[in-house]
Amino acid sequence: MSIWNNDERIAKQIDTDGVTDGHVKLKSWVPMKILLTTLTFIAGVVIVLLMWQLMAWYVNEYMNLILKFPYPAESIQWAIDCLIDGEKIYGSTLLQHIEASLRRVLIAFSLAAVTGIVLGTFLGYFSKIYSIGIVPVTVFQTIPGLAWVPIALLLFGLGDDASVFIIYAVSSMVITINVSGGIRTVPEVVTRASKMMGAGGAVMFIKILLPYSAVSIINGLRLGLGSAWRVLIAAEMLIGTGIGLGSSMETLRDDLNFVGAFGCIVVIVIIGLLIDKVLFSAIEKTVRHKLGLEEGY
Amino acid sequence: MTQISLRNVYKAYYTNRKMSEARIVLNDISIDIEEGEFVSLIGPSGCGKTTVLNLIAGFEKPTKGEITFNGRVIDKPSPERGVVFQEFSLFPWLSTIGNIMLALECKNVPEKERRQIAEEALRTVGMAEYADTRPNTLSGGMKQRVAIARLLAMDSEVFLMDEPFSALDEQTRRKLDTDLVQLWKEKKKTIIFVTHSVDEAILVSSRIIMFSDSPGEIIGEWDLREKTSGDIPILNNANLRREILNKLPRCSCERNR
Repeated sequence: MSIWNNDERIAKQIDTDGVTDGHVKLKSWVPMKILLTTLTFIAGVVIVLLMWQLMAWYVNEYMNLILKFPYPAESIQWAIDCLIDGEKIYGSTLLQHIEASLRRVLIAFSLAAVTGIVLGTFLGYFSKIYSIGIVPVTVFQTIPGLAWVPIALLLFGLGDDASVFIIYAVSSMVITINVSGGIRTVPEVVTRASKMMGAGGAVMFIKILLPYSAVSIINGLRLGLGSAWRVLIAAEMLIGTGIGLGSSMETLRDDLNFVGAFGCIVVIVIIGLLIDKVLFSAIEKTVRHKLGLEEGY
Repeated sequence: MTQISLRNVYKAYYTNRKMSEARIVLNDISIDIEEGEFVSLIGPSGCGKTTVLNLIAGFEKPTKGEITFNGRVIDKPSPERGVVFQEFSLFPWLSTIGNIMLALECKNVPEKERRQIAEEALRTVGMAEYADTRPNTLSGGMKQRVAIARLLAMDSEVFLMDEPFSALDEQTRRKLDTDLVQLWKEKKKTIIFVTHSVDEAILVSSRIIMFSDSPGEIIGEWDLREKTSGDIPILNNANLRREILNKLPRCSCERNR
């Protein structure tokens, strides 16, 4: 198909206009690029929905369960209705649940990002500290998210702080490991060049090491936010916070409202996708371009 | 006046992960370099020329012996001993002039003066019109010109150049060589230049020091100032070239056979 083929497109233009001054004038390709990206994304989402649909159909048709397995359309409809009508789910609207969850993630993630970037940069740069420091980091990172629950409850009791602590504990270590890994791959010629220039601590970290390892830092933040989001839902299910997507999912399930519980999952996935696709992809693309990692222009 | 002095310098590296053996890369090297000299270090690859440069730059420390700069022992890198690396060492996220201004920032030059000094340095190497270009769109020769401009802006006393033009095509290399000599004459900097090309060494330097490989020792030295009274020795250097080439040890892979 010609819309996928860049050469064919340019070749056609050469045939019609010819080459002037070593260049070929083409129409802007941006709208088409956006369209293509959107289409590929939608295709991916459709695959997921199809799998869900098939699964639900098979379970309901052949597995004789007491309860019905929700179809995608039902759950999506449930979520839309809740958002539009502002219907209360156990005392709060869906929007309030989302807000509560997002707030916890943002607080914990911001703290984790600062910890991870600072700690990761230090560990990555000083190889002697690294061999000692990476041991506790690995130990903490090996603790599964939910295993932090007893520690969090002991320290903070039930409530917001406990879930914020769990998210922080998990994602800060993920970010630290990725950032230190990124700093460790900064080529020797770069560190030598900056030392030769007389770059002191602050300039070295902020102006040279951080930009150079920006791609792995962004990846670290991305993974950190991903794990924060996952562990948040689990934490809210276990720690009685009363509000938040995880706890509303938990109570909906207890009431055997599986359509609603699945609807919550849909909301969780959409928010995660938005953060990853819209926020991080855009930042990553800009940074890759700045670092000269993207082709051309 | 002696500016850089190597006194009985040894450098050794472990040859395996068991650390049960070390290879002597530099074996009892002593060199004195005066201010304003243009010294070329030549020799077969792996003979330790680059190691000498890294030691003077302060990136590495000698296993034994002492290296001094203006009488002080070199213990770490410093902008007074600038380096042009063999690999391209500009920061890709900064523009050409941004790279140079960052070097000035490291030296705590006031923000107002940075642009002017950087522009002046770029003009000296003929790169003024590429000030706002990003390094990855420049050709190899241009990148090395900018790297030289960086040292000019930093006002390094010594330029340490590690095969800076070896990745370039012959014509570009010739051009950069002659421009470098011109610059050396104007700015009166000390230049230590590592190369594996005898022709390049004869073309640019005021003194040539030849190393043997494994272990690296000084096996020959030619002072080109006397022969040419301070000018670039371009003419009548056929004999010198033959003399140097005859002395150049053959690659160790051949010799060991």
